[in-house]
Amino acid sequence: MREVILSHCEKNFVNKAIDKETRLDGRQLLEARPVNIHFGSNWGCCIVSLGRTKAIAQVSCDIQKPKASRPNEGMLHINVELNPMAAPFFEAGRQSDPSVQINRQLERCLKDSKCIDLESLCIVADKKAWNLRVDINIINHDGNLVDCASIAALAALMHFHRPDVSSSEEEIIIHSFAEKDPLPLTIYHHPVCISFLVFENGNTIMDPTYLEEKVGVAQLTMGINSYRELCSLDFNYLTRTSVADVIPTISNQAANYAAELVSLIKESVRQDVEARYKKEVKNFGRFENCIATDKLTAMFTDKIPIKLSSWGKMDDREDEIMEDQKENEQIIKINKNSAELLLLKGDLFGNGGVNTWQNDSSSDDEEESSDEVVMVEETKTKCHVLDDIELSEDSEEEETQNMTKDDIQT
Amino acid sequence: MEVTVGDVAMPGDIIKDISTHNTKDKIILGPGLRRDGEVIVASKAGVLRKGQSATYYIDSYQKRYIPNRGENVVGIVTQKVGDIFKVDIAASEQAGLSYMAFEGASKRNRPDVQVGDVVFAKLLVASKDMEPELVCVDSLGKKGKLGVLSSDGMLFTCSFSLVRKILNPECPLFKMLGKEQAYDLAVGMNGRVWIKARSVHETIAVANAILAAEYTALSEMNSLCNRIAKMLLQQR
Repeated sequence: MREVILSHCEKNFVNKAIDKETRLDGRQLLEARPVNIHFGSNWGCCIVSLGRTKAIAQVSCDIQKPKASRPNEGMLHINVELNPMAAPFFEAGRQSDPSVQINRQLERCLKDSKCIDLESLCIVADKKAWNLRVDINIINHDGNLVDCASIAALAALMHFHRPDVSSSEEEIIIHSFAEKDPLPLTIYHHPVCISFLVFENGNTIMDPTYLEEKVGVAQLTMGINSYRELCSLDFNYLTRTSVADVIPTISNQAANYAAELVSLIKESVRQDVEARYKKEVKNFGRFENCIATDKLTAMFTDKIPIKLSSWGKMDDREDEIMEDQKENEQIIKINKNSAELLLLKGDLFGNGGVNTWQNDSSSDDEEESSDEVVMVEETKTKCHVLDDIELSEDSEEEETQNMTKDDIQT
Repeated sequence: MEVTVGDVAMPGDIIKDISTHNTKDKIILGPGLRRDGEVIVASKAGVLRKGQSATYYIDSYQKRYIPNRGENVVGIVTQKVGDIFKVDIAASEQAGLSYMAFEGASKRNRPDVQVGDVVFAKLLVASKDMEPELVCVDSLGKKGKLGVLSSDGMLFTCSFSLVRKILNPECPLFKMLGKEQAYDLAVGMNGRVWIKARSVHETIAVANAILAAEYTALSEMNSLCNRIAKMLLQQR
């Protein structure tokens, strides 16, 4: 099946929106989609989702003869596969142009940056060494496959444990996991790919979606580790734009985000590995948890690809208030007339309904915040002005403010 | 397993109600149902519903379009081949659209259609053995609401259940949205929706409202529209 061509109206609209610094999914220009990592039952197996882009990675190992050029090093192979499950226009079982490109970018990011200690994978020099293989399958394509694949590959490598080996004269014994505890890989630094997209008008966005990728004119992928070191760089353009134009505007953001991302990956790997060491039953971050048992509640947000920037935030606020209400419910239970109230709230919860309280509370919030601002002003001026202003009284702040202003003027 | 009206049916389930039906009036099997000898089986997963009189169908969630005669679709022109335009309508095969199938078109006066344009057209031929054929005129030669859509709008896709939901005359969404914003809209039965509003923000807002409608009950459409309107005001 061929890829559907980009229509004029999609192209015009995305360009127009980027001109106005808005994106269809309500993100800021330099904002990435949320990352979720879930681990499978084996070592070195994970699913990573970047918004609606999803990739699954599995690390496996076997013993092979090392390369003649590097007799005391193990090997690392990276293999990215794009199949029709990701998008119907990918062909099965054939190395296509994009898959080679992603493969190469990941190799440069993970292999050429020497982030994995391959020497420790050697068992007998020139004879036997571990051969690591990272298989990455893209299972849903919504743009920015490189970032998603790189996160998946890194998380899988960090999570992977190889069986222990003991060698005694000419003979090597590979211990099963039951005999000896498996060993993790040694990783010197943690590089991740961060992608940017440049549009006709020169605006740059981070973490492009599929539609944006089709419209953009130049794509920049940086492999950065958590120490803000550049490990790889890939610049792919349709029209003449130079890397020098793009990099200064985004390099800082890229480095910061990479550090953030790596700490997220580290944290989730650490939690899962620790749970496995302790043989605990972990009920989060596993494959079974990545399938959300969605309830068809009102205003369900995650599945909406096009939204206003304030859409999700409004939901958060609502959730918060709903939680508050839950607490209230518990308190009210003690009262006598609680039955009716509870029923009403039960209807509202999940079903939405006309939320009269939302309006009030939001405006209240604003008022409160503005009050706080006034308070700060007050305290600041208080330092300069000798007069004592009663801070404890919340009411009539405006008057006090006026007073202080007068004081400054005089 | 045997299922009755209102139950969730899985492919292969035997429909109990119909197979034991024993009257003379005709039973009409809608989408997702087929007869296998003496029994009626479901061929899709969804909720078994009964329409007027003895019409049965399965209300399923689907994103893959199968062309049906007489349906309005939104397509993208992908190619010009001689006298016809090839139009992608998200089906397994591209549809053909003759250049004569536009209002006022003649051999001299060809319609101005470019590759990459979006058209709103009606399916004239849709059979499983032939290429689907589109027209942009009705039987009187008038274009009505069909034709090439302006390139200022926005195109997005959604599920068929959402399309059926918002096109249902009982759905108040479009009327309520129209109170706050002015917009042009073309909804194709192939799950493509084209919108044009006054500004980028408004267009995104309308798209957001339509997509959110999938998870909103009819009685809550009002609050959804109010929310969208409020958010638009905040952004201004």
